[in-house]
Parts: sequence; structure tokens; C-alpha cells
Amino acid sequence: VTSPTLSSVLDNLPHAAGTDLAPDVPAVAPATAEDVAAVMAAATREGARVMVLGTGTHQGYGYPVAPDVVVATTGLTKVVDYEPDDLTLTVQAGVTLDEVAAVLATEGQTAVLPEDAGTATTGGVVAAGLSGWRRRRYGPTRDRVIEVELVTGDGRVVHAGGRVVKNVTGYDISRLATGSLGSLGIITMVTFKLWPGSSHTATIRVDAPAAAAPAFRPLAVLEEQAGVRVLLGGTDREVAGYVDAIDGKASEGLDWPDPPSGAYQFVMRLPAATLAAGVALIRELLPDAAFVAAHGVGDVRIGADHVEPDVAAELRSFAEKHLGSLVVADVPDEFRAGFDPWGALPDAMDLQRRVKAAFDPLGVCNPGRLPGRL
Amino acid sequence: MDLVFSPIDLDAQARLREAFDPDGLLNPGKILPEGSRCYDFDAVANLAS
Repeated sequence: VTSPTLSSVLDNLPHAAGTDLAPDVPAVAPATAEDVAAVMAAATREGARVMVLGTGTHQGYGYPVAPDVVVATTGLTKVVDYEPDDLTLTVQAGVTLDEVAAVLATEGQTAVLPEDAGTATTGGVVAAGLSGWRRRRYGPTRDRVIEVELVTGDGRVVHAGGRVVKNVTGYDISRLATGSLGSLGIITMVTFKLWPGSSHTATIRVDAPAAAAPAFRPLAVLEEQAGVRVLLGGTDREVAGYVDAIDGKASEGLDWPDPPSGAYQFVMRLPAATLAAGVALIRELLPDAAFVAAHGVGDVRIGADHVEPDVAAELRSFAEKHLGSLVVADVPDEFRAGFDPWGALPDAMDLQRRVKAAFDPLGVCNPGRLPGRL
Repeated sequence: MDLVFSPIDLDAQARLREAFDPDGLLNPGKILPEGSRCYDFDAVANLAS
């Protein structure tokens, strides 16, 4: 039996729109994990580099990938299983966050995915390790990914975890895949652990983050250039009590901040205790930039029309001095050429290399994207 | 474990284990059954033939 060539595999699959990041290479959108596996197996046989693409909302992370083929997950559109009573939802990777929200709205449940990435795919959000502003209350997305189906770089379809919330069998490959940025393989299916939604929500604008103190567990405390907002969710009595106790201007519902926009986008991560100092430094160095800082979590998203490399370097130096990081979310190419997207290398790069090789032995999956150009 | 996971799933876990413990010194056999790697299955098949 001869194995099919990559080009013959691609010919039999639906074509995808592809991406401006790699306009001249074939792009396919398989509808099954088996078809994704056929592409990956052929790519590994031929040493072809594969770029993994969702809807392309977060492709600015890491080093650019120069692929020979683009595999889009946008053909993987099935909602596989929704068990409201078990609080689990299983979707294929190409299902968008908006579609997830629409499915869960029927039961008033939430997967606590990022609030402002509706067109992003579930697979992409998990692969990028993105958490929403409600991380303060519910923890990171990683903790709610209880099962994945991952097609490895050499075309094996691996299932890990399970749909039972307390399943603890085997190594936690689901968490490993979360945030792996397509470097281990292509996530084709994900099961999320869900939460019941809040019956009552409110947003209070306050002068300083400390004003949120009366709330036991706010959904988020977000600081911007213009001020601070406290987002609350819970029972009617609980939320009404906090609205009374917190000194500020309250409104019904969750009024999330606009995501910081601009050609230059960064994510700064700091220990929660250092966040106030980090915000002060951002205000000083980038007075015109938009930012949203999540108090109690330590993430700051920064967006600006222009940032000088030495300013970005100073912010990174501050973050790394406090054991945090400053990573590029999106920047123009000319800036990227002179500013490392990740910063300091993680410890134990040899271990990182071996973990990648365990899933992607020939290094065909998003090659070069990760720190150390793994 | 082999009731829950397919040979491919177990092989992926075994490869991950090898990344951390290449010589298999740490609690061998505690989590993964002996012979979780694909080449082990191949070896068994070859023995039978």
C-alpha cells in the first residue's frame, strides 16, 4: 500500500479562504478529524510545514509561521453534545464563541469564554490559551477544558480527558493542549465544563480598584485609562447588596470594556500584587494607549496606534523583573522584526522540545511559532 | 486504562512520559500499563506470527 501524497490528500478536501498571512499556499477546511489526520500524516511524510488557522482573530501571537499548507478548522462546525444537567458541552474546534453562547443561552449556562471574541473559534481560543475577564471569579479557560481531540503533527487522532467533570484518568493532555498554539497538533474537538449563568448582573463605575472590596467575588475588576469598573454577577439579593455597599455609579447588566484596539497590541502579565505599579508605568510611558487591567488576576491588555520599541522593552523589563511577561498579541511586521514577541525564554527548553517532539516529531505544526522558535 | 483509552491515546501518554522521564525510572508502570507504546503492540503482533 502506498501512502497518498499531500497534494492528492488536499485535492480531496474542501478549500478554505485561507489567510492574508500566507496568501499563496493551499488552504483546506476538513470536516472530520480523520481528514485532518490524513493531511498531517502526509505533511509529516513530506516534511511540509502546516499553519493551523481558525478564523484568524489571534494569529498575531508568536513568531510568524511560513507554511506550505494552511489547515483551517472552520469546516469543523458540529455541536457534538450538550448535557445541561452534567454542565458539559462538546463542540468541534471550528464552532465560534458566538455559536457556543447561542447554544448555552437556552439553558442560561456559560462556558466563561472570552467576552469580546465572538467570531473566534473554540479551538483557536483553547489553542491560544485565552481566558476572559471573568477569570477572576471562574479561573482560567484551561481549567474548564476537560476533554480534547487532538490530531498530532504526524496524524494520530488522540483523545485525552473525558466528559465526566471529575475524570482524573491518565495524563492531562487537555491542559497541555490549552495554550500550545497549534504547536503539538490541531485541536479538532473540545469539551468544556460549564457554569450556571448569573440570575442578576450589574456594573459599577468606581474611582479606584479598592472600592470593589465589599464584593466577595466580583466577576471582574477592570481598570482603564478612564476609570475602574466592577462587574458583578449572582443572585438578586447578593448583587443588590453589593450595589448598595460599593460607592460608585451602578447600572444593570454587564457592561464590558471595549477591547483595546490599535495596530500595536500587547498582553502584560504580572503577579496580582504588582499590577498597580504596572498600570502606573503604562500610564506614564503610554499616556495615549488604551488598556484594560484585570485586578485580582494580573493581566493587562494594551492597544495603541504606535509604540516605540524602547518603550515596549521598558514595559517588558518591568514585567520580567517581577516574574511576569510582556508578549506581543499583534504588531506591524516592521516592529516585529526588531522586538521579540515572547521575551525571556522559559526554563527547560530541552523539555519543551521533547514535549513538542512527542506529538509532532518532525516539527510540521506551526513550526517556529513558540518561544525558542519551536 | 485500556478500557478508557485507545492504543493511540495510550501511546501519546507514553510519549509524553518519555519527554519527562526518558529512561522510565520514575514509578514505572504506575500510571501507564507496561507496553503502552505502539511498537509494543507491533512486537506482540510479530510474536504471534
